[in-house]
Amino acid sequence: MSKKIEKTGSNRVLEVKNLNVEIPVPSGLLRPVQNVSLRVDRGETLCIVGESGCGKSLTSLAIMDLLPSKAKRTCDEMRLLGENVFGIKERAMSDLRGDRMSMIFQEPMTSLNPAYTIGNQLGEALRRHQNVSNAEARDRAIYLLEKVGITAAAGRLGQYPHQLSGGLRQRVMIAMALMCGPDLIIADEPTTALDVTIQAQILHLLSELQREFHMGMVLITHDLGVVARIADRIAVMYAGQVVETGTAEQIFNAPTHPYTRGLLQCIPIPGKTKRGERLGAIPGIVPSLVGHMDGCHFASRCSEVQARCQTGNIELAPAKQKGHLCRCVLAQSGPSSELETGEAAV
Amino acid sequence: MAIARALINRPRIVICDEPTSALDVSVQSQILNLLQDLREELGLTYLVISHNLAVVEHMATRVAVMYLGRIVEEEDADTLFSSPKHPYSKALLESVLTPDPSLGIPDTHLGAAYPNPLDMPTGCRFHPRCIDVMPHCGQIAPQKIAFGDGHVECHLYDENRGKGSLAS
Repeated sequence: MSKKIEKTGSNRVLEVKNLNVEIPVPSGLLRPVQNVSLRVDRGETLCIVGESGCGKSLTSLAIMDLLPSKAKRTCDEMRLLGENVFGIKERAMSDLRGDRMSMIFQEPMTSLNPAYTIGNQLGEALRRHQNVSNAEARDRAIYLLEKVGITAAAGRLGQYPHQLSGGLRQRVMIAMALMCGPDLIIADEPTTALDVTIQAQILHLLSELQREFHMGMVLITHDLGVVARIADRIAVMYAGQVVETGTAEQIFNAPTHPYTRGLLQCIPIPGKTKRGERLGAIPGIVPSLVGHMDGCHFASRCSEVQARCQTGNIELAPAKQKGHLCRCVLAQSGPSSELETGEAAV
Repeated sequence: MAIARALINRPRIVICDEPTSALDVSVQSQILNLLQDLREELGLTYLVISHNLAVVEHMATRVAVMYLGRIVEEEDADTLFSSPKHPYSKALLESVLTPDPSLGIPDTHLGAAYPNPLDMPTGCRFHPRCIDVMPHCGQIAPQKIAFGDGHVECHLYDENRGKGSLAS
């Protein structure tokens, strides 16, 4: 099965440059997202991968403008389909949200409203954004429920979320995100709560629908197995920063950042790692992101740490291959003046 | 901490229910390494309950596959991972997403409908989702069929009815 889709530059769905999120906490200013740049083309899947607390979910919430009210976001540029969406009025943003960009959340049970039927919740988004009758909304809901593999879809419309299994609920969430035919879909850990057999089915479905509707997709996950199978491009995040980005082949076959290499050594791979063999581990803990942090964020846990890692700002810089960027002094071959950091959009 | 508490009375067997399911991979690998070191050092026996087959293959000496309250297949780990017998075990193994970017997402053809445990399917409990289903699977519950040092519950391996064989 070919999962690679031809990329064209003019088909940019999302472009984010230097996104920062700051949250005031009692001990200072927490900076969970620092200078994150992302781009997604039509028909492309970008996976953001990283461990808990690395800022991947907050990045997606910042793009959707759904951050908690205390959090402040800044960025140089945020464009959806070439149009600026940063700092626009809430009213204009909510016109886009659910219509041009939509989100699939991690926990279908907490994201679906238990007090309304499936049909009601599915139709709501479409009626909010488009001038359609109840019957048209209902038809669209049935069409999409069948698309996501729910049999007897018409009968399901009258059911409440608690009457559905976890896999079905997640399918309803996907159908809901697709109601208005968005250009960009952000899926935050869409399969974490599901069984492996169901997970495989949901991912299969997502990538099929993405191809069919030709959407850009941002998939957020910590599961490297999922990432390898579904991603066109990958952004590895650590402690609020993107530390490495490239195509799936580049990241998995030639990981450059010590953190990425460490992550890949941590997972047992059937057929590759010997049974019972010790797995790789990354010693230490994720640093606190309160206040300003100098040097490389991974320096305290890195096995190849050097003196120059501790100071200054380490930029995302091109690694060996085109499109492969890495935030590590060891990967940067040439003198820093030659680095085109302006091109460092993920 | 939870591991230390479980070991304080020097047990011989430790039951680990999804010891790493909620953890990040770097922490998961630390816990798995720790569990294996303790197994060597203290001569422990583990009963590990997990849905992560990569972890199972890494840790296990014997594996029992459960579906809807029954153990449908049990044997040593090598045999299960190299030649799974039960269609459910096969589907499970296919669903494992190894980090290999050259492969796509597997299609297990299972259907999403997990049966209602209060109203179990008749006959073989897996038959509504099974790709190798035969007409009598819905009526007669399969019996344990022994092979080597394991067993499987599936009509495919019945001596006179089944299509499959236990050549091993």
